[in-house]
Amino acid sequence: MTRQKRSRHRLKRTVAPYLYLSPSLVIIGLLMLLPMVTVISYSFQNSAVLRRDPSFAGLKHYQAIFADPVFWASLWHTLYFTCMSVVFHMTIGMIFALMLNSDRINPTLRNILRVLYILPWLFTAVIIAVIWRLLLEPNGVVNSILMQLGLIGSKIEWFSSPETALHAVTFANIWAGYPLFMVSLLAGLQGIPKDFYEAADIDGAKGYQKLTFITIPQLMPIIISISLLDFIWTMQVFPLIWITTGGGPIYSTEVLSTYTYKLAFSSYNLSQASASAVVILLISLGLTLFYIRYQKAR
Amino acid sequence: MAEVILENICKTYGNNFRAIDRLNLSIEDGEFLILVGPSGCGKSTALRMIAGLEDVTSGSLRIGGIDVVDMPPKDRDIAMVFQSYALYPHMTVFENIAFSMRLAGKPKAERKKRVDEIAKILQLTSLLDSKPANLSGGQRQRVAMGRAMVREPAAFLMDEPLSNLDAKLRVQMRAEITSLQKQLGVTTIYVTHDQTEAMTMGDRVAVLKGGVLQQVDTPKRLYESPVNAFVAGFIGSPSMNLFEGTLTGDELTAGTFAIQLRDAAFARRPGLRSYAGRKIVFGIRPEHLYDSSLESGRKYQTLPAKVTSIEELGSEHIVHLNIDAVRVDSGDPDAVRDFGLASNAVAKFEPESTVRSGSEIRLALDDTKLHFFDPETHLAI
Amino acid sequence: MTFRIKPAMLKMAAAAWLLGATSAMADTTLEFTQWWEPEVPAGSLRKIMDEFEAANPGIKVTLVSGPYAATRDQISVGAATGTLSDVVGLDGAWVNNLNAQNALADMNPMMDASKFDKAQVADIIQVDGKAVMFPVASFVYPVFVNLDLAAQAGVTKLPSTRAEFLEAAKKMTHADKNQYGWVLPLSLQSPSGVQNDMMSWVWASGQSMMADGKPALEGKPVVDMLTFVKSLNDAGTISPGIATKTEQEKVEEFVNDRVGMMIDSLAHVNLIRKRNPKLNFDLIPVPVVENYNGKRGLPYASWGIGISAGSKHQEEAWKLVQYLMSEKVNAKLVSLANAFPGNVNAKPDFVTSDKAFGKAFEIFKTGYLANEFTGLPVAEDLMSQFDVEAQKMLAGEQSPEQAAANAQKGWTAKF
Repeated sequence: MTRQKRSRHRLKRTVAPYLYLSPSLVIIGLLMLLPMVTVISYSFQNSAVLRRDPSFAGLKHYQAIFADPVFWASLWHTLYFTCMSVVFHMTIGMIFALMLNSDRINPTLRNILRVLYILPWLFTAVIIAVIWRLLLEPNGVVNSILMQLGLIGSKIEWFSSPETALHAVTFANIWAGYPLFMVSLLAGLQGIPKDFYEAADIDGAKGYQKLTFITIPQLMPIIISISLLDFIWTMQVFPLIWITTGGGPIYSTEVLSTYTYKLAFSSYNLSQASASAVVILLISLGLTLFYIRYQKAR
Repeated sequence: MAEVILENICKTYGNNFRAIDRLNLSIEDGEFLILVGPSGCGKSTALRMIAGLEDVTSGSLRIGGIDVVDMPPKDRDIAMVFQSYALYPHMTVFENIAFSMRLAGKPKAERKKRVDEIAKILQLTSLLDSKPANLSGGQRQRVAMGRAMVREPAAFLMDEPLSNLDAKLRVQMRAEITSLQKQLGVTTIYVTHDQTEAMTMGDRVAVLKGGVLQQVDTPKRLYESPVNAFVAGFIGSPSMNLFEGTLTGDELTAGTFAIQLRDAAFARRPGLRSYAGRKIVFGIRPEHLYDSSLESGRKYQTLPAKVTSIEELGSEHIVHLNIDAVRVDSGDPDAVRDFGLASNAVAKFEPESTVRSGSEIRLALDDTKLHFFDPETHLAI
Repeated sequence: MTFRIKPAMLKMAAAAWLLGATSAMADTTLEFTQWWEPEVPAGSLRKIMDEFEAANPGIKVTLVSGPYAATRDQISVGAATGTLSDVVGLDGAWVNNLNAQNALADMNPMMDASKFDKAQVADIIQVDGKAVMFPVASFVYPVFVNLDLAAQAGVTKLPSTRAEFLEAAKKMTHADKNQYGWVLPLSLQSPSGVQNDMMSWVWASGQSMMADGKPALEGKPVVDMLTFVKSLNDAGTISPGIATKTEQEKVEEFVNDRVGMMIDSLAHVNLIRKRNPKLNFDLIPVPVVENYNGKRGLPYASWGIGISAGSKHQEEAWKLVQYLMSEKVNAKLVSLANAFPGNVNAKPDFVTSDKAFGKAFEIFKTGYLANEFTGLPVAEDLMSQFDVEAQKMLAGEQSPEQAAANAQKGWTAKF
């Protein structure tokens, strides 16, 4: 074999993997990278999109956003909404998963519960929003039940009063999102060997000790992964909030996503909207890097 | 340390399946008892009932004189070693061993002292900070032992603890566990399906089949005087050869050959005469069959056989043969069946044997080592 | 790098697309983007286009149709990238933006050249002296009154002034029965409630929220309106859930006998009848301030039409606009949409055949069209800001004066 032939062979071998990857690289580039880079570039332009010859704006739009108290309120609401959602998704998901995994509950009842618990997952965000709008209407079912029980004295405008709106949307989102945790944790629970619990029984562990010493440590990888993913996803929740409250009343449920949407499609200030979107991107990116590092570490 | 007594223990599942039927066993203080039997015989269920992991349907169970039937596992003062070891992957070796002490709220210093002691015995000292995932199979096994030992229980329960190890390590651990048990002197109930473990490790062996206890005795007596064809076939490897024959006078005939029985055989078995002219099941262990062309086989009577295959193990030859007799099934569901039906007997020959596969030979048989069983009940005569 | 590539790519795409659109035939093909086709009986808009094509040989029309919101986004992006259709359906609220992008053609020279009779059209929307839009069809917003609820409450004379309206609303309110006098939808998703349900009170009395082309929210008209709305709210006559209520929910409550009165588009008459055939309702003009006897301004929404500044076929496009604004065609189109005509001479057939529409047509003819948001910059954003201030006022966080002042501050910044 000549040297030339051999080097050509080697070249082929080096290039081949990239050739195989190229279709997906091109698609990722077109569908993900290009829009992302475009949005980033918009955030540094004056009158992005709306003018054909946009001028360079530097950090102007970022300064404008950071100077806007509504932005900071949105950021705070986003954090509250996200943290509460993730914590309760996890807690409720865990409780339900433990129930569904328990031998002490009658199997028929367990199957019925399994279907009931998973229901919120079957609905799209829009339907969930509509359901909760109807339920939490001032004249809706929730108020009427609470009044019958004597828990509240007058009708509460859950979504329409600034004091309750953020809690109400957070509640709706908690309801909508726990099945992800439930299903993942249930799968995890079913993967924990029964021996662990039997060994603990013999060693004298009480119910809560089995939970803290075995179940939770065993589920930790799932809990961390799903929490991080949930955090990233919940931060970007838009349809649910948009349809239930539209960020109102006043600005009480304005989150980064609705804030950005309004800048873009109500004010047509696409430059500032892009800047706001970049801020969301950076926060998500931070979390994603954390997630990737965690995944690698495992 | 205590004796463990099972009286008329039954276990019935919801579908009326009776897993254990009137099991009576009494294990003395410090004794090493092996529970053995084919898969599905109920040996693990019995062990789990002693541990408290399964409810007892009826009967009484006493550990150290205390009735424990309604007690939760933790109050029974027992420790268990699981087949899978059940080591917690998120805890270090130290934490795994100290787990029960931690649950019991023992102070840290005491835990450390005790774990160090045990680690020394088990040669785990350098591994205390490792996680189970980084240990070899034998090391994990020792950690599981350590976790059981740390509690100084009245009894050890071991559920096939060696089945996840490779053959070589199993031999080694077999010896280690045996000597450890002698050293600690703790009553031990050990479940296995491996009859080699059963024969080598325990003081006594209990053989179970279909939830019913067949025989409890020392390994030697199990081997020499099995109470029925099942125990005869189950104990010993390769299994005892069992055939159908007819007793005519002093002659045992099967197919085209006959074996002369001596008076001694009848003297030891008063019932044997009554089978005259009737069908009977007779058994002979592979080690009591000889190659007639060798010195060792010269003194015995012979019968014709055809060699179907040979496993040369170096120290001995396992020879599969076909003789003109109807083979009897001992009732062991785990027994290896020769589906080709080419062979119906197994013999252990000395390595000097030169028999070849396919050749017709004369097979020597030590008639004093014959076992006889009732053809209906399979009980020993 | 993409920063540089992007406009070039878009231009290329646009060029290729224009090429495909124009050079296929010798005929001139006009593109007409609007959201109307889905809102009229299937095929009926196309039929009008076919008739236009028959009357103007050599011109073909391609309809680009979609829902309102999608069309809005498509047009604003099209304006930026120079890919706007030849003829575009317009909402008054967009005109200012599009004009700022120089996307709309001035129709004055075309009108002059073709000797177009300006008196025949109801309105011509001018921005910076340029005629950029005609309302083709208008949907006025009268007050709908549930006559049964009014009768039960003892309201015999339907309100004509704000004071009478407040009285009537109080009488019709029975909170224990979930029944309220009025409904005010101020959801932020689509803040058009500010225009239709709040500012309409100002315009009805011949007043204005503007002064010299600048916002004048702190003036008496707007403050009075806010005070009036607050008094309705304080009296508990407004159905609860104001801050998240949408227009659909407003109509739904009216249909289900839960509110006595609402301000709503005439376009909903058929929908309301379909949802509740037994509902006994009447239409009245939006009540006015005490002692006002002038002509009443009628809030309205419209289907506007304009021509793209970048169109290569402005002459043909103008023909289509003229055609749609002509007396007979306009009457036909608005009849399909249950709207009032952009051509003052057109008389849609439903006003004679339907009593409710006939009544509304009377209101329409005695009043004038008034919607000051038309032509304002970022109209929706302005409504949104006003909405938030109004919500704060209704939540008791600020007075009507403060609400007006805060909104004024926000609006001024946008002008």
